[in-house]
Amino acid sequence: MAKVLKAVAAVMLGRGFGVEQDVDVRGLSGSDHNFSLVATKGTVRTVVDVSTFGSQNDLVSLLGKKMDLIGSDALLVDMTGNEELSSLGKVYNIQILPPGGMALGDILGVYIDGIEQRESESPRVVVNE
Amino acid sequence: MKMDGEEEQEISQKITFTAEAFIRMIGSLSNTFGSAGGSMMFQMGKDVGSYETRKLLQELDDSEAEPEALMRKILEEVSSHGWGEMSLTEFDLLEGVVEVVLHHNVFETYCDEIDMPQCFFLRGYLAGIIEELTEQRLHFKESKCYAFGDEDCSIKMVKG
Repeated sequence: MAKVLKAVAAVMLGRGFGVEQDVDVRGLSGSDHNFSLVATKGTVRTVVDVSTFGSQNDLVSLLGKKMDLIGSDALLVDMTGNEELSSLGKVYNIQILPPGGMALGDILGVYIDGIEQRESESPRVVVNE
Repeated sequence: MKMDGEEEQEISQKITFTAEAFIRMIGSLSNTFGSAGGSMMFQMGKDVGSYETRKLLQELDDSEAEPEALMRKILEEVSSHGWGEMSLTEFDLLEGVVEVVLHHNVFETYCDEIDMPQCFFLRGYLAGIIEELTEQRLHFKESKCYAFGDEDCSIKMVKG
């Protein structure tokens, strides 16, 4: 798991994000949410979790945490390549990442392009630190 | 057995839900989804608080009243729903601070037993009321809680 997080962190760092590992972020509800990685650049914040067994609960959990952090984007690394997670991720607006390989960098690159384009058109405000 | 319309309507609009069952529901969400469980309860509470405030505002027909006065009226009304006796102790929209104290909070025993606050739904509920009344999005800041040995339960909401 550490290897894939290092790979994600390397791509994010390469694109100018600050990256922290194993971070607690307090949400609007007062809950403290732990994330495997948190990447920030200006007002953009992306939170990252890892699903070890490809469970849908991991995705729902990340959605619940994301809802509590207004203005944050979320990525879930699926270590199993569960296609159901990929489909659900689209519904929940959470990008699902493969556990490694060329695809990881490619998908992450497109994802960051999308964020940067969105930010240049209408910057977001991150609530809560 | 047939019921007349009035009786049927009354039955269909109310359910009885014990505080213990509610706490179990929160526990189940937290066990399944971790910290996201609290966030989900907060979101549900917010939606309900918002909805009930809109409904009460229509019934009160008092659109000219100040938000603070409306908040007091709404808290008085929702206090009768069984959550506890809610009173507004701070309402400062310029600073973005609202604090509500709950006496006889229905969850008192459980907060004490579990040794941690169980008020995610109520925090959201208050956030929903406040947002509906003031168009300000406040988030939870701190609380007094039976679980911390405090005498009362209080929920403080502040601006981002």
